[in-house]
Amino acid sequence: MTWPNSPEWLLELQTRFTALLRTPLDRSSGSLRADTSAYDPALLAAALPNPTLDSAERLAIYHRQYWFRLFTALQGLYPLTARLAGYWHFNDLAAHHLLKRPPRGFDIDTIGDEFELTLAEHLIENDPLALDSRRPVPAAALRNAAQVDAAFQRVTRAPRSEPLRPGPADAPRFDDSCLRLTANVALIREHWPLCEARMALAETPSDAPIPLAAPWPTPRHWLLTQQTSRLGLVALSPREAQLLDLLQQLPLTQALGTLEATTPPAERALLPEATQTWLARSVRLGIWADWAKPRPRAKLPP
Amino acid sequence: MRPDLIDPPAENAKAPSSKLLCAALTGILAMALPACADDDSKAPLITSSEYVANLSAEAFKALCDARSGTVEEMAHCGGLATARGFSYDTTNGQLSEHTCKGANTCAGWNCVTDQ
Repeated sequence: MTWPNSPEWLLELQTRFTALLRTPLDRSSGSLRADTSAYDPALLAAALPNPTLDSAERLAIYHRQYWFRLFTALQGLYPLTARLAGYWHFNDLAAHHLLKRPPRGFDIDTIGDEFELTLAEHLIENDPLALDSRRPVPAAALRNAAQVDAAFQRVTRAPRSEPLRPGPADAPRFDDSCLRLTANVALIREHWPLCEARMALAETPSDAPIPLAAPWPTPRHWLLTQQTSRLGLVALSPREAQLLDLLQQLPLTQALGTLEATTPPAERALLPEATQTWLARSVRLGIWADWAKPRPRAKLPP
Repeated sequence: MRPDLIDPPAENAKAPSSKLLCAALTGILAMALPACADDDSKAPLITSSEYVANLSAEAFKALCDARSGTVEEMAHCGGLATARGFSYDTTNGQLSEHTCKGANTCAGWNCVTDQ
């Protein structure tokens, strides 16, 4: 089906109205408000007053609701990040995201796509302590929290798929193919205790800000998995996480060779038994979707 | 030790040692395990439970070792037992047997026995 071109006047009205909606709300007063003094005069002339509201006030209703609806949706999609940052500061980060990656689809849940990337880009350029001098949250912790929230979102929304159960017929793939994770699982590396905090949020919803716990001395690794209707976290050792990561980038034999080469000699004697346990568990949990051509992934920021 | 029984050094090698490769294939082909996946369609289930006071981590590991199991670290609330086994809740002293992918408790340990 093809649609006729819109009339010029309608295109112009839509363009001006969209520009108004996407103008961030003013934060200078300490609360979010629509700055009607900056509204486009042509749009004000086009929007008719009613007996109780003038043109600017009528437009301001749409303006506020656009942002409030999207802020609320993003807070729901990134609850850990929102409650660590506090809603006021989170909404500021959300506004940056919605300007950089404005919604373009009908599914409101997709407005959170790539929020963790926006956050990473934005926080690299900005002083994290400027968020709130009374409750400083390191930028790296917020980025890590957004990664955790994004992983929970992806896994929760993914349709249930049939996992790969490798058998002897898969032997030819061991040398030339890597493994691909199902959409029902995510590997997460955390530098602060975030995954369990995120899981607890799902079980006890609240709006209160939460404090950031002390960072781990070394990063921790989790496998987030959707089993039937239940989300679960499985703790991974660093070496196990490394193996699962390598298997997504290299054929099985190369992944094992690389794992072995990077394992300190003192640990190497235990590596075969541990590897057997890890791989058996990965198959048992159904984390693999299929075989794929090796494709090195871009290195993520720490 | 005879030199031919020693795996070649792994540094700078892309090929894994035969011992590691063999173990990995056993794991990924799940040769060493009865298929727990058979239980996938069933809801996680506590099959029995008894009260055991003050079970220490060491004592739990000994129980697990006795059944050739593996102690798995648990996430605090929201964890997942990855296979058949038993778990101990340190907050209420319940020692429970569970089915494949059974639910964990919020504090304590889990032992995967898969048998």
